[in-house]
Amino acid sequence: MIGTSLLTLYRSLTRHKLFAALNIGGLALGIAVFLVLFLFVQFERGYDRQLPGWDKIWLVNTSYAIPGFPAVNLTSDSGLLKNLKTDFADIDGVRLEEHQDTAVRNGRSLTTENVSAVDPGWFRLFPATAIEGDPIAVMNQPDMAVLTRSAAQRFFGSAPAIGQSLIMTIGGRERPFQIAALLDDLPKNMTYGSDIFIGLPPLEGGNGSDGSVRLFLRFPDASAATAFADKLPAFIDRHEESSLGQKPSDFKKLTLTPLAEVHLIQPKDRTVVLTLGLVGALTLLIAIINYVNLATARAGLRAREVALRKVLGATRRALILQLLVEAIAMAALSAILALALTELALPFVNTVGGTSLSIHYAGTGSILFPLALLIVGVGIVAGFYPAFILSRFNPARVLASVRTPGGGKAGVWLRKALVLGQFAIAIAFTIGTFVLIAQTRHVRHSDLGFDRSGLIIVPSFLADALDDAQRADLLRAFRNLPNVESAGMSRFLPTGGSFNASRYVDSATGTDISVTEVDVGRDFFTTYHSHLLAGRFFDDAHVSDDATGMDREALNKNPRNIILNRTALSQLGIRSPQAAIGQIAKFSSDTQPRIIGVVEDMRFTSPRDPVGAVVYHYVPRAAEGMVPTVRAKAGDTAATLAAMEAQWRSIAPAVPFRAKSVDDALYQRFYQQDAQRGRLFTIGAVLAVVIGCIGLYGLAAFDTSRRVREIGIRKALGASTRDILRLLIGQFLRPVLLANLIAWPLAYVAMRQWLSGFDDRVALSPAYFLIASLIALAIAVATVFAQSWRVARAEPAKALRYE
Amino acid sequence: MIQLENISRRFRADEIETTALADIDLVVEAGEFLAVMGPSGCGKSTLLNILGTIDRPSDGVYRFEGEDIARAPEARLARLRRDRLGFVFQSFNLIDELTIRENIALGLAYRTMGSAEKRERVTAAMDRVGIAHRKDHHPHQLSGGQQQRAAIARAIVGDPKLILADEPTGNLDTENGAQVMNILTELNGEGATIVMVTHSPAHADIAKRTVHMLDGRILTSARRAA
Repeated sequence: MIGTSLLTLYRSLTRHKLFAALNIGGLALGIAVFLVLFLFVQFERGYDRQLPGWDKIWLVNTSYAIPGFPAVNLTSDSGLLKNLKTDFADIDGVRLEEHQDTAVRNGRSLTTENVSAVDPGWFRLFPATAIEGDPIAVMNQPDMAVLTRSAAQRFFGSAPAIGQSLIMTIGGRERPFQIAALLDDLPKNMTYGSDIFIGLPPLEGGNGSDGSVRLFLRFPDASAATAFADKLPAFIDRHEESSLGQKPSDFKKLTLTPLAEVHLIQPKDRTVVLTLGLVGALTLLIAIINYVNLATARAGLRAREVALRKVLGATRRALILQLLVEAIAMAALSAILALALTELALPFVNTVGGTSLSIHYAGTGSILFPLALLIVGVGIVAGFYPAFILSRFNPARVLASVRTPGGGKAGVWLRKALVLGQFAIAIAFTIGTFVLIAQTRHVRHSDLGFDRSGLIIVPSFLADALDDAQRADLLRAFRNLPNVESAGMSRFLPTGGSFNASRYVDSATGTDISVTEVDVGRDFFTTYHSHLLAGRFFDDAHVSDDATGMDREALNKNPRNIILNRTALSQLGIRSPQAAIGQIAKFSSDTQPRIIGVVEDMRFTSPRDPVGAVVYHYVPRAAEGMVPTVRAKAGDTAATLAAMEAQWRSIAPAVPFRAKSVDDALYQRFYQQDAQRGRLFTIGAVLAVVIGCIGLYGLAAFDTSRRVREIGIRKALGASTRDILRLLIGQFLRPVLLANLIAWPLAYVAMRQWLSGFDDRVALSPAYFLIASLIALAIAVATVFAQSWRVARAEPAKALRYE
Repeated sequence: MIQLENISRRFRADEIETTALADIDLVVEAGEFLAVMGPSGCGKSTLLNILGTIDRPSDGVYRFEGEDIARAPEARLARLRRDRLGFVFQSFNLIDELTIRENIALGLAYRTMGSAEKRERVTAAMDRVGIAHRKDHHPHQLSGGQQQRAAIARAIVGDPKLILADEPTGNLDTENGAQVMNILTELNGEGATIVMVTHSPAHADIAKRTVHMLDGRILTSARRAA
């Protein structure tokens, strides 16, 4: 029975090629979009879960009760583990210190690599597959390193890596490390670890707050971790002192985060993963709706066969089973095609989406089982209604009738409702895409409070290997380059750098002010083209501007001049920039800085975060921890970069040069992920619209061919081609127009929610809604026009003779 | 074999009710060859559909081999059609996507039987109606007469006790119509009961008994003189 059924299906598909292409193609496209986004969700949610014992590892989160201080701060003080071991003898933990962009020298070649300095027990908690040597033993020895296969290949090619040496600049000092063990490459979706591991210096105690390491603790289960976390406030009170008159544990919090939750710990990241998963599911739903629509529309064509099967003794249950098997077979065909499409699309998706997705056919994470489930699920969902409708036809009527049944009024209404549903989703996606593109463009071009074009930053200035003399020479050399307009130093890079937040609580007034303190050098504001709202910039002629080498205590004793940003004014209760000039900034009763200037807010943070209050201190001499920003003369960025690199090689040949435009740096740090996820969303949304149109085209093709006789009669009665076109296109467009009523509020709520995550955002203009709807209408008209035109122009006599 | 008592069939479309059959009483004996005649719309095909259990009467009793099946569950009727009935239609109702052999095999698709036996039965049915040489062709590649012979082969491949033929020669020319009637006569001679709807008096004359219908009622029932 099933054999003949599948044979009939096969021959029907080869005979009705357009229908087969639309149905299988549409479903395949839907499954492909779903597969890609499923892989994305699986990849993102699978972070660290391939690690044996991942569910027993927790990461220590250190946060401070400072307004504006991030709630998620997954670093700890380097001595915390030693103190914990003192108080809790059986604690099992390891530390990781991440050395980003470390200079690594192999003979004459010099590169930068991320290096992980870890405690000896690292590979106990984070097991890795050893290819050669014993990584656990190696981590006990200073000046030994463990490399992954890729790193070994990069440095030594096919030559044996064990026993070779690499020179790494760690802590400002060049040290040789001997390669003593090799690992298989780490999984791509692993949050911690890198291609090079070295030993971390032994535990140091103390109450410092260097926040330089990540501390991982292992517990037998979640309840043990929770019980341990409950003891941490008392631990903090035993080991910390408070300078604010509160209990230390009121000010500082240590919490535990499960390792597997670290990657998606930020709500915005979870929302992105959820949204893209939803886009995949809805796109698949649109494709399934297509299948149901086309299958029920074509039900009439198969009605005779099904009626005949009934006559020959098939029960309704047998027919439903047969039709479901057919739907599953169609889903399987589509899934195979979808798999091929996905394989072809993945390199492109990975490039534009910044992902590393791949399909695994064997082992854990194999796609085969989920795909089989998907095929059966899609087959049943897509096939159930057509099977229900077809198996219900009365065989006597079907076999007696010349005309084929079309499912009656209910069938027509259902098809309209399904078209309405899929276009509602497609239009909502289109609106979402427009808003997303507009926001992505906005953050890249909006006024940040400074002119970002032509600005170059030089992060390699932070290299430990540079000394102060080299820094001064380099800055001088940069300033003297003919294509450099100016260069200014700052301790706070446009893209991060050291976060120096201060909180002032005035016990007399109760004022609680949090500010970010930024050291800036000569020409900083002029280099950035900052907008001066009142007063003046720092100037060497004013001795009181210079805060070089002063810590907070020194600043309190010797009040210096400061510049504030606009937001800081409101925190201090000063009503205008002009009114601020000359005032003493009363952050608290023990500070006396004088305000000499107010600048517009400069956004050096993510567009998602509000700009906080900033106090600028003047540190005119280049110092460690400060980084230059160079402004190239108009249109000369590339040449300027080349000239700067030449100067760098001559002054600091032992340190790799790293520089990039501020625009690129901002993009990489703050916008890139949103842009990449946005592109994935756009791909899904565009394909959802395409799939919706495939369905509409199929439906139009079917419906117009069924109405040839009716149209013939209408034309015989005097209807013009234009009348017929208006009738047919109007009927198809009605559900598309109605779809806006569903799509608009959905998109409005969703996009308002998404935009609310940005401090710097576009307005949710009605234009996005109107344009999306017009585009959907235009696409729908274009889709049904060809079919309608063909039928509307047909000779009525031919149509009537045919009947 | 068949006993109909007060069988009625009414159709309702919106507000209008149409009576297709009104209080039909009919007995068909095993081995009979019954022709049903009457003008279009008189209820011939409705009667045949009810006999074939692909339509249900609105009222009345339908006994098939003594069992009242007028209100039998759908699954029971499906079994009955599968095991005891064979259908021949005016428009053949062959499936275009299947070859002639596959179309005929469809008559056994819902039976539990070994594939070798199915093959044998299909071959025998094809030989019986003289269509074996076209077994790998598709319906649209055959003439009307050949298609109808294939449809008869599909109807008899399951060895039914009752063959219901709805204007089997209606779409055929004289020669092909005669061939089809010869096959039906032979089948009746071999013991099959046949109920045939026809507009052709000549073909009705071949049947052993003819009933005439008008407006949903049986007007006359006449046996052919021996």
